[in-house]
Amino acid sequence: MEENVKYILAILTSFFVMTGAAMADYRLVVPSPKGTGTAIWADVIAAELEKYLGERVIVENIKGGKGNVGLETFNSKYKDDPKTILLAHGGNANAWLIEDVNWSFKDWEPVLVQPYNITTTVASDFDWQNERLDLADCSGCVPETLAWTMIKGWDNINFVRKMSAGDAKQAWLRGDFNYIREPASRHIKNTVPMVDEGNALRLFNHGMFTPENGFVQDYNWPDTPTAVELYKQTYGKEPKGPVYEAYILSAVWRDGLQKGLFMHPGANTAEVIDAFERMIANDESRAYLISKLGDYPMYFGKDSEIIMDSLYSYVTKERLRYLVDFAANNMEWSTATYVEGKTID
Amino acid sequence: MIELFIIVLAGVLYGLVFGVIPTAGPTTALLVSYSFIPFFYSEPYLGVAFYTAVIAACTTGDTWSSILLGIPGSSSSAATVLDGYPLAKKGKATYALSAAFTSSTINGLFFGGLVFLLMPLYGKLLLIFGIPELLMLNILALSAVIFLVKGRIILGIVSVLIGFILGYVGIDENNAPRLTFGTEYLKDGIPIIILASGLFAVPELFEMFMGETRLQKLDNSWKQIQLGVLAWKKYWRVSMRGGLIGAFVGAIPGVHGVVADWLAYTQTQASYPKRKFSVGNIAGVVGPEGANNAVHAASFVPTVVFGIPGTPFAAVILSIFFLLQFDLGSVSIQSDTSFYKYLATGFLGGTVLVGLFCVLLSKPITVLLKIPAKIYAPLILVLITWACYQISHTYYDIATLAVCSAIGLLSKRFELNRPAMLLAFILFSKIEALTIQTVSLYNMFSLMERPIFIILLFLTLTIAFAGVKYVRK
Repeated sequence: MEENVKYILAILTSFFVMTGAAMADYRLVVPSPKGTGTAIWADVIAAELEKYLGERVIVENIKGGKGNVGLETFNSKYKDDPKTILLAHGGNANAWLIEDVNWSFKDWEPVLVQPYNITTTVASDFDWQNERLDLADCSGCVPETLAWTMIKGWDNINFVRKMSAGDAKQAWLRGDFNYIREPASRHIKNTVPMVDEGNALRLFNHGMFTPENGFVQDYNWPDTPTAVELYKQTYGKEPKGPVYEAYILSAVWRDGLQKGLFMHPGANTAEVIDAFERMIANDESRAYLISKLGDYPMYFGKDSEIIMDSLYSYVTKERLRYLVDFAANNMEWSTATYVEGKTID
Repeated sequence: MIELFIIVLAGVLYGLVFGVIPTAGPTTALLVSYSFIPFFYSEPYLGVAFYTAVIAACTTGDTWSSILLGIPGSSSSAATVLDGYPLAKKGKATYALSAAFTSSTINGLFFGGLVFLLMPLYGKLLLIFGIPELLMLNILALSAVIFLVKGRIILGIVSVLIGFILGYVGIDENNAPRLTFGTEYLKDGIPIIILASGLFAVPELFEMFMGETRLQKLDNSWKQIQLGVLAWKKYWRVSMRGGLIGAFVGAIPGVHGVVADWLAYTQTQASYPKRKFSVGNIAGVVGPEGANNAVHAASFVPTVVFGIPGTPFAAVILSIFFLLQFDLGSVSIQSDTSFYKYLATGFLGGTVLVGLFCVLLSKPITVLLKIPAKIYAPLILVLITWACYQISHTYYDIATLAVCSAIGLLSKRFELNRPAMLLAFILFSKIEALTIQTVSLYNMFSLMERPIFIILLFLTLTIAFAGVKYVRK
C-alpha cells in the first residue's frame, strides 16, 4: 500500500513539474472560458500579435467567479511577471464599479483599449412603449437594464433572474423574448437579416465612446439613435436623475472598456505597445482584425491612458452611489457594495 | 477528404486505446483529450469528426476488457460481462468478441445512420420548445433517473440528493454565493469535467491500480470469428431489439447508457425464458451489445438538439464542442449542415473502422490489455489531472478534483449511484434556472395553452409512475 502511494505521489509530482515547466514566452490571461466573445477576441489578437512580438503568446483562459478568478490571478500570481498581459472586458468593468473586488484597474498600466457598441433590437410586432418588457438579469447587461429603465420606467419591466445573455438570445430566437442586445459583429450576423426583412427593429445603441465627447453617433449605425437620443425623441426633453446618471457611468465603462489589455507596472509594456502599433500600421493585419473583430478603433499606449483617464473622470461619488443603489435595490444584487477610493471627488 | 479520413482514423485509434483500457471508456478518453482541443481551433469541423470517432471507437472497444478481463470497459458494457466472460473462460473469447462486434457495429451503423439522418429534423422541434417545454423536458429526464436505482432506492435517493447539493454550489438568483466556501472559483459552480473525473475516472483507475486482473486467452481463429458472426445472424432479433431500446433510451435526455444496456440484457433473457444466462450464453452478449452503439448514437439527439446531455460522456462533449464554437442546443447549430455532416461521418466512419480494427488487429489489441494497471492507471490519472487543470490554470482545479475524487471513491465504496448523482448535478442548475424563468414569464393559464408542455407533463407523470412500478418489481 505504502509503495503504491509513493508511486502515485511520484507520478503526481511529475505533473506539477510539468505544469511549472510549461512557461510561455508571453501569456495572455483571459478571465472567460473558451467559446465566449471575449475569448474569441483574445485568440484572434494573440495569434496576430505574436507575429509582431516575435514570441509566442499563450492564451490562458481562467474561468470562475464571473471573471474574478482570472483578474485575481493576474493581480497576485503574475504580479512580477513582465510578460503577462491581462484582457479585461466591459463586464469586468461593471464588476469593478458595483462590487467589492480584490483588484483594481488603477493598479495596472493600460496597453490597449477598444471601445465597442452594443445594439438593442426589438421584435417589429412588439409595442415597446406600451407593452411589458421582459429583461434578462445577465451580468454584462447592466447598461441595457438602466437604459430601458430610463426609457420605460422600472415598473414596466419584468426582470427575469437566473437568465444569462445566452439564455436571452435563445429566448429571443424562440419568440419567448421581444428584445435582444448584442455586439455589432453578432448583430450583423444574426439580426440584420431580420431587420432587413422587417421582422425586427434596431431600436437603440449606446453610441461610440470617445475620450473627448463621451458617446457620439456610431458611424457603423448612422440611422440608429443612442439610448439618450431615443429618450429625447420619446419625451421631448433631456434625461436626468439617478437612473440616467447610473446609466451613463455603467455604459461608458462597459462600452468604453469593452476590451482592454493591461500589464503590471515594470512589465514589458513598451515592447507590447510597439508590436501593436506595427500590427495596426500593417494594412493586411488591420483588415484581418476588422474582419474578425468589427470596425472599432483601438487605442494604444498614451491614447489608452487618455481613454482610461476619461473613464475615471465619470466615476463621481454621486453616480457610483446611484449605480450601486440601483444594482442593490432594483436588480437585487446581494454583492452590490459601494466602495470608497474609486471616485474622483 | 483525405484529411477527414486521417482525422477519423486518428480518433478511432485514440478511442480504441481508451475503449480497450478497462473502465476508461469514452468519458475518460474525452477528458484526457482536453489538452489538445486547441489543435482543432482552426478546423473545428474536423474536431467534430475526431471526437465522434473517439466515442464510436470507445463504445465498440470497451467490449475487449468486458469479455477478456471480466471488467466492464465502461459502465455501459457491464451487462456484456455476465455472459461474455464465462465464454472467454471456456476458451471461446474470439467467438464472443466476434458476435459482440458484429452486433455492436451493425446496430451502430443502422441506428446511428437513422439518428444522424433524422437529427436535422429534430432541430425544428427546438423552435417550438420554449422555456416551459425545456423545463418540462429536464424534469422528464430527472424522473427517468428512477430507472437507475432499481433495488437500491435509499442509496439512489441519497445519490440524487448529493447530486443536487453539488449542483447547488455557485450563486443564487441574487448573485449571493452558495456553498462556495468563500472562494470566487466556485461561484461559477463545480466544473462538470472535474466532477465527472472525480466521480467516475479516478475511482475506477484507483481500483485498477490496487487490484489484480486476469486476462483470458484469445484464440484468433477464423472459425471462431465466423461462428461469432453466425451467432449474430441467429440472434439478430434480440440484437435489433437491443438497438431499439438503446436508440429510445439514448434519445431521452438524462438517461444513462447503462439503463439501455441492462434493459437490453433483460429483454434478451425474457426472449428465451427456458435458457440459462450468466453462464456463457452468446445471446446474452449479442443483446446488450446491440444496445451499446445505438444508445451512444441516439444520445447525440438531446445533446445536440437541446443541449441536454443524456450521458456523462455527452456532458463532456457538450463542453468540448462549445470550446470548438459549436453551441449545442442553440438555434444556430440547427442550420449548420456541415456540423451534422461531420458528426455523422465521425460516428459512422469510426464505427466501420473500429469494427475492422477489432477483427484485424486483435493480437496487438490484446497486448494493450497485458500492460499492468500500475503503469497505465497513474499515467491516465496524470492526464486527467492535466485536463482538469486547464479549466482555470489554478490549483483550485486540483483541489476540486481531489474533493470530487474523494466523493467518487466514497460513493463507490458505499455503492451510491454515481450516474444518478452526476445527472442530478447537471439537471439541478438547469431546472432551477428554467423554473425561475418560467415563473417570471408565464402563469398557470398561459402554460395550459401550450400543448407540448401538457404532453411533456403527462409523459413525465407516466415515466415517474412506470419507474416506481419498475423499482418495486
